Amino acid sequence: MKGLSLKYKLFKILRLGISYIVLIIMAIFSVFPLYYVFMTSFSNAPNLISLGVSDLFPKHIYFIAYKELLTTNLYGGSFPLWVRNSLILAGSTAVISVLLALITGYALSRLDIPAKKTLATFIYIVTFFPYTATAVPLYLLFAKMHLLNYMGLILAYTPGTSIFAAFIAKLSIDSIPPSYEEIAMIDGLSRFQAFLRIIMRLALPVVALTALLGFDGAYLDFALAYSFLLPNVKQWTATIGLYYLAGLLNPASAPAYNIFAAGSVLMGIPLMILFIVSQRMMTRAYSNLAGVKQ
Amino acid sequence: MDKEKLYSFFYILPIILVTLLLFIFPVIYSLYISFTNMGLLHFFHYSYVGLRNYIIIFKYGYFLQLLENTIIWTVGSLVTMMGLGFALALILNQSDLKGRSIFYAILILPWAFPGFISLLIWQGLWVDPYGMMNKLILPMLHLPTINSLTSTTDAWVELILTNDWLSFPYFMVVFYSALQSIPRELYDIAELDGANIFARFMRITLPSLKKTIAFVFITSFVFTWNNFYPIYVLTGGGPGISTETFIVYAYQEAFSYSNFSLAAAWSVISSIFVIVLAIIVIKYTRILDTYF
Repeated sequence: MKGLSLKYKLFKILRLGISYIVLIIMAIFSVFPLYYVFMTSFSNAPNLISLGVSDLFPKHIYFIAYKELLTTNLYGGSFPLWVRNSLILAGSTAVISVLLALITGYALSRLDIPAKKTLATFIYIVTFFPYTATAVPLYLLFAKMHLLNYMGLILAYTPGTSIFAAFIAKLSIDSIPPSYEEIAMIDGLSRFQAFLRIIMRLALPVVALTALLGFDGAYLDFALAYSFLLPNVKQWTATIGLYYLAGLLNPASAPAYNIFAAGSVLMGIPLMILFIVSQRMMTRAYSNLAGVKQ
Repeated sequence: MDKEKLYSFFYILPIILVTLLLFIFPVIYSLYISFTNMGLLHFFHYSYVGLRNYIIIFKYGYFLQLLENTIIWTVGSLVTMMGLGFALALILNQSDLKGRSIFYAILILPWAFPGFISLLIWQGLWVDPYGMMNKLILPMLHLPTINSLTSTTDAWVELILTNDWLSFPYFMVVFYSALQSIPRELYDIAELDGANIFARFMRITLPSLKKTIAFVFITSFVFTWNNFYPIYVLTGGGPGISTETFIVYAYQEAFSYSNFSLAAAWSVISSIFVIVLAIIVIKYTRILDTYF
């Protein structure tokens, strides 16, 4: 008996020891690129060659990259302008996605639609197409329709998010008793007013999740924005701007590398915080789809 | 049609219109363009050229090369990402491990940070010889440096490692929450019955996770197959076309070389793949059955 418990103890120490080693290695791996870009943004190194190990553990902190990023004219545009464009684009996409997702979710949940399942399967396939898969035909089509602008981009961003969200919305609306709206409709509200006042409010978590997905999708898209907006620097979004700052568009004319790092930090950190805040919600949505009961 | 039916119709109409305009119509349009010679020289006045674009794709071996690349990319990424995520979920699920929530919070950071920006950062890290990976990290670990401009193997290592960094937290989170949902009593009873740790893993953990693993595998397969940015940003499909996948190649033909009709033909091919994969997912996971 004593031998067994000793063996058990040794095994436990070994198991936990290996676990901690793996976790620590993975934690370093996870944090390193983010730490590196954060530190680079506070360095005065103009390019990758001059960026040294000492910049990862700096003695001095420089704010020059941030100052340049926020004030310089870049390529005829500027970073604040591009961020503003991105916010307009992402905000509009979020609002339209929420409306479309909730209306569709409502229809799938409550209303009597012929061939509902066939229709649902049909629109569900759309969510498998990333923007990049349809970028070429959309570009060719939108060029003909004079939609190579924000209007066209918002149109293209909305459906993928909305359909995905509509399915989550349907589940959420299923759990709201129909009598709530019926009472409201007896009190004189129209069905659409009842939808806005009651469903939208009770399905608020879904509204938030949809808004977040729509916002993120539009804010971080590069492929479509790049193909639609490239010739017009003043209309660039922040992702096109960042691609240019990284020196990938035109290495010769790209500004200093620490400016790119500053741009990455300013664009990435707010979204990262938003993600972490909403992570519980996200996990629940993803796990529900994966068939895990919470 | 009675009033209520008409009402329902108005609610479902927007999504149908949007689907037709943005997915069905473009795919049909690209099918049409793929039979023409539309390009930079013939953007407005293009003419019918029959199967020429498809003959180029199939006759000169591009199709097989891209199929092989896409499979290497998808399977290579998926096996390592899922393995890593699963291992970390198992590690975090040990009840006697301290500081689980701290590690959990740190390990989801790569997923939380916007992927496109991470890729731009990684692109700089991998530059040979000035990027931090080649200048500092790899020499520190006594590993050979990575040069994705000249070596295909290096390019794949770079792509798959970076993709692992981007995606392992997703798998970790999903598997972890699935592991947490297994009742602890099951393990206690098995332990009393004398089942060792491996027997418990094989008899309890794996069977409980079967559904989650299948779902995650199949949806991630489709996602990775279509994943555009890592390859576009990191290697641009190089060296040559040795890391190009269908989706990246179609995009580059159009927007780097203005070869629109050929790009349209590639889009048609990758759309067929997407639709087939989507149907497999819907059939196999029966995901829509949970809704209706």
